[in-house]
This record gives sequence, structure tokens and C-alpha cells, in this order.
Amino acid sequence: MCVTCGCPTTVHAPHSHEHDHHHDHGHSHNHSHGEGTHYHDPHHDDHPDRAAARVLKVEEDILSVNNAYAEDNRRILKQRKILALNFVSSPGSGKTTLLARTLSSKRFTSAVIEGDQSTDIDAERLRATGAPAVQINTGRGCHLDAHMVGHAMGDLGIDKGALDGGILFIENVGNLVCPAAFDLGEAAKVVLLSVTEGEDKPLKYPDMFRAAQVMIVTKSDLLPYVPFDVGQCLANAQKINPAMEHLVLSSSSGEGFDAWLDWLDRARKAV
Amino acid sequence: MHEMSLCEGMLRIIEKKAQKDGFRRVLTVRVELGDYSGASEESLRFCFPVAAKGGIAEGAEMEFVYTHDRALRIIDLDVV
Ligand SMILES: Nc1nc2c(ncn2[C@@H]2O[C@H](COP(=O)(O)OP(=O)(O)OP(=O)(O)O)[C@@H](O)[C@H]2O)c(=O)[nH]1
Ligand SMILES: [Mg+2]
Ligand SMILES: [Zn+2]
Repeated sequence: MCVTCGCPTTVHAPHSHEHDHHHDHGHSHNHSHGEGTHYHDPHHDDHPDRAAARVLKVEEDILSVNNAYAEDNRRILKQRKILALNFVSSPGSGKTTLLARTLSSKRFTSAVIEGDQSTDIDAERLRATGAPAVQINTGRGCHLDAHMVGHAMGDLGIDKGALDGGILFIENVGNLVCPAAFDLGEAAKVVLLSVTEGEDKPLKYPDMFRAAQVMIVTKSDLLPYVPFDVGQCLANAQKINPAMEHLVLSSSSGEGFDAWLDWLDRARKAV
Repeated sequence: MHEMSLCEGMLRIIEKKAQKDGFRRVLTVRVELGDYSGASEESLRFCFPVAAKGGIAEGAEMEFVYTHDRALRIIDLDVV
């Protein structure tokens, strides 16, 4: 999606994936047409060009361009035996703080790709730990896409061997909706939910919790001060995504953090 | 919110198709939209005319076919 990142050249050209597409007509389709606001007359036959129109089969995923870039990223990451994790959450859930403490543990060879609409505050915070960090500013964009991440991987020298066997932490734009739709080539999406946000979030934002493989309940040090029911939160998450793993921790006090570092270690070894 | 970049993705597919199949205007875009696609018809209808302005698909109508999966796909186009 060069349109989104304003890149003049294509780094790795998206390839078209040929596949047999079987359109399943077994289920009922609700056909909706003409219910929205139209700029022009909704009656086909009145259009002067309608008579000459032909139907052209397309059958292409709207996200196919992004997905092709994501597969390119995934291929490079696999070659280099790198574990890539895509951190998603609403703004302020504690993504950067969690990453800072994780990097400071020095248990892993790591690099970071930071996504924010604006500023490189977060990348700066993480560089302070000694890990290389590249900031992506999405401008009006509300999510990272695989093309931007491919560029950032290049900037980090990942294709040249700068992170072989290590972990690539990707912090997405703080947004509990849109990043769910965009595959970046990661091994897993990790969704953070802080205890100040309420245990109903998995139910209210199901797309994100469905897309994630792991949920981290953050800021557990604040549990004595907020009416957050951890059990209810996990039950809600389970309802949306029964296969999702979960952890509860605090990046401030360090409670539950060793379990997280061990989880990372296991995931890295499994690559 | 990301429907604008989805519309830009749709236009790239349409433009690529226009280069290959040589048409000058798109009258209708038929989209398959799954319940779990993370996109909404309302928002796509709102964004598409803005993204398509000045291009081959300007003024095109949108038709939606609903499915119960994650589908987000251009089925076909009416073109001249
Ligand atoms: N009490 C407490 N505060 C925390 C914890 N983790 C993060 N915070 C605070 O929460 C605020 C937001 O944390 P960030 O790490 O910047 O959150 P983020 O998810 O990276 O935010 P964006 O990048 O803006 O989406 C900061 O003031 C942190 O100090 C925690 O474990 N406990
Ligand atoms: Mg942050
Ligand atoms: Zn959005």
C-alpha cells in the first residue's frame, strides 16, 4: 500500500497469488443495494453507459496487496529465524512500557519497529534500552501495513542478518479496531488490555481479540484501585477467542513479568 | 476508520485490471463483505467516492454481497 506510506518506489513487488477460487453459494447472501447515499441516479437503466456495460470478473481480496507484502516479510523473518510479534491495543495500555522492561531484561537479541501517528517519542524511549528501534509515523493512517513494516525491516538491516535468531517487536498504532485487519508478517498478534480499561473490551472490540493469539492484561499493580474483574475479563476473551493464551502482569512492579519473559523464550525457540 | 486505505486498495486492484482489460469507466463495483471482515458497508460507501474522485471509478455504484466469514473481496465490475 504505497498510497498509505507515500513511498515512490516499490521495494519488493507484490506478486499475484494465483489460486482456485471456489465461491461458496451454499449459504444465503443478503444482497443489499441502493440503500446508501448515492451521488447519482440509482436506476441502472437510466445510465447512458449501462447498455454498453460488460461484467468483468475480478475475484480479488481487497487486502491482497497488503497480504503479499506480509508474506514477503514472513519469508525473510523465517529465513532469518526471527520471532516477530505485533503488539496491538488502545492508546496508553502500556505497550511501550512493556517493551522497555522486556528489552531491559537483556534476555534476547531484539529490535523494535514503532508505529505512531506522529512523533518518535516511543522509539526514543526504547533506544534508551540499547536496542535498535525504527519509528514509523503513519500520519493520517490509523494502522501499520505490511509495506511500511517491510521498509522498516530493511532499515534495521534484518534482510542482511542484523537480527538473526532474535525477536522483532512491532508496536502498532494505539487503536483497538483497525490494526486487526492488517497482517504484517508477524508470528502472532499480542493484544494488551490494561485494568483501567474495563473487562468488557473483548466483547466490545471482538475483531481485535479474535485476531490475537495472546492477550496480556497489563497494569496489574492498579488492581487494588479499580473495579476490574480479571476472571470476568478472561471469560469474555474466551467467549470471543477460545484458543487465545493470556498473561496478567505489571510493567511497573514487575509482577508476572518473568512468566512473560519465559513465554517469549519458548516462542522464540519454537521459530 | 481504515476503510479509506481499503478503498485505496480497491482502486489499485481496479486500476491494475483496467490496464490489463482496457476499460475506460467503472459503473458498478460488487463487493463481498464478511461479518468478520472488520469493515462496514456504510463506511466503505462513504470513503469510496472520496478515494475514487478524478479516477476511472469516479461515480461508480457499490453493491454488497454479505457472507458470514472474513471475506473482503471485489467480486466483479460493470465496466464500459
Ligand atoms: N501503574 C502502571 N502504569 C503503567 C504500566 N504500564 C504503563 N503504565 C503507564 O501507562 C501510560 C501509558 O503507557 P505506554 O507504555 O506509553 O502505553 P502505549 O500503549 O505504548 O501508548 P501508545 O503508544 O500511545 O498507544 C504511561 O503513563 C505509563 O507509565 C503499569 O504496569 N502500571
Ligand atoms: Mg507506545
Ligand atoms: Zn482506522
